[in-house]
Amino acid sequence: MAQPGGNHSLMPYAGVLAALFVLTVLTVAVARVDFGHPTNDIIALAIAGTKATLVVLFFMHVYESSRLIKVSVVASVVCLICLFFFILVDTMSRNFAAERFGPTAIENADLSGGPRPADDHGGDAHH
Amino acid sequence: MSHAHAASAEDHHPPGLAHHFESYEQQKESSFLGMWAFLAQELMFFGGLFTCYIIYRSMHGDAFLLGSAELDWRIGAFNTAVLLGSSFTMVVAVWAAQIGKPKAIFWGLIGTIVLGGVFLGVKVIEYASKYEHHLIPGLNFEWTGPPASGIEIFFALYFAMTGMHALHMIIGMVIMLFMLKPALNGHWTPQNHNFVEGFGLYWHFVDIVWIFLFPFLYLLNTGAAAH
Repeated sequence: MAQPGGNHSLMPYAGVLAALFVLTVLTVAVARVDFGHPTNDIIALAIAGTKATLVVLFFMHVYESSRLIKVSVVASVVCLICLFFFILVDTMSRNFAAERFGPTAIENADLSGGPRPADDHGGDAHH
Repeated sequence: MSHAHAASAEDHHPPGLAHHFESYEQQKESSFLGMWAFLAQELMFFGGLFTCYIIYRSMHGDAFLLGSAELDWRIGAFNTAVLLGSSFTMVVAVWAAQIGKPKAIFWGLIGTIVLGGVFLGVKVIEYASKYEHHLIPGLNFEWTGPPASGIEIFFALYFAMTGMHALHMIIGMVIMLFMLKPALNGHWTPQNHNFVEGFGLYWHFVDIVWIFLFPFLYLLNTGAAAH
């Protein structure tokens, strides 16, 4: 019976562990430098993503798994990104209307499709 | 136990292979696919918490920096190293199962349980200090200053996320305690150790959650603090 991954030594795993330790030290060191608002987060996300990828590929054996497992793993991450994306599209666009058309733009929005009331003094002159 | 079953039922099925599978390979693939489906669900579960984090951080950015400064990044870094180490001992257990070394499976699991225990012990100390500093929302939260509500949200998320993570570790450690005896008894063979390997996937997943929790909870304000 073929045993994929059954006859390798522990040394590659030790190498992955060492890389994870190095990346942990790196994420702490980089966080101590102030790169400005989004940059620190992007770097932290990139390092954490690299660590997670190392764990998934080698500790979780996805690197040597079947294509079906690989597709499942990628699909679950795509689902997660969809979760983030569609919720954030909502929450982060809520202020757009207020910023561009004034704080009461949403409350005063005319959704009926009919003619607008004459006494409307909102900032949205053009639409 | 599989030995007794194989001895009594004198069918042509090899030991450790359920009758509805054609081969060990097929059995293994089915087992792992099921585990990955479970982990995809877990990813969405923690993804909800991370979505909360992103939204509230975008609303209370400065308060999150102040809240993060209340956490000790040294403790977080230590626990990160401990948890990465526990992932390595878990990999040792799976490796031992793949090549049929029952004692090495046992010691791999013991190492994972001990390191998991160290992690949770440190977490208890951390939670206790948050209690002393009145930083537990809903229990004794007190903060004087303008961003108090934002900091309360940060700590609500801190306890929700690290608490859920710790709960997953506790569940994992209980399962590992029940795995010790079968490991020593040679229950898992190179042909079928799917339970050990599937459990390893779970443990590594919990490790990955912490890999993201550590920088985004503990390291937000270390740059400003260093100035």
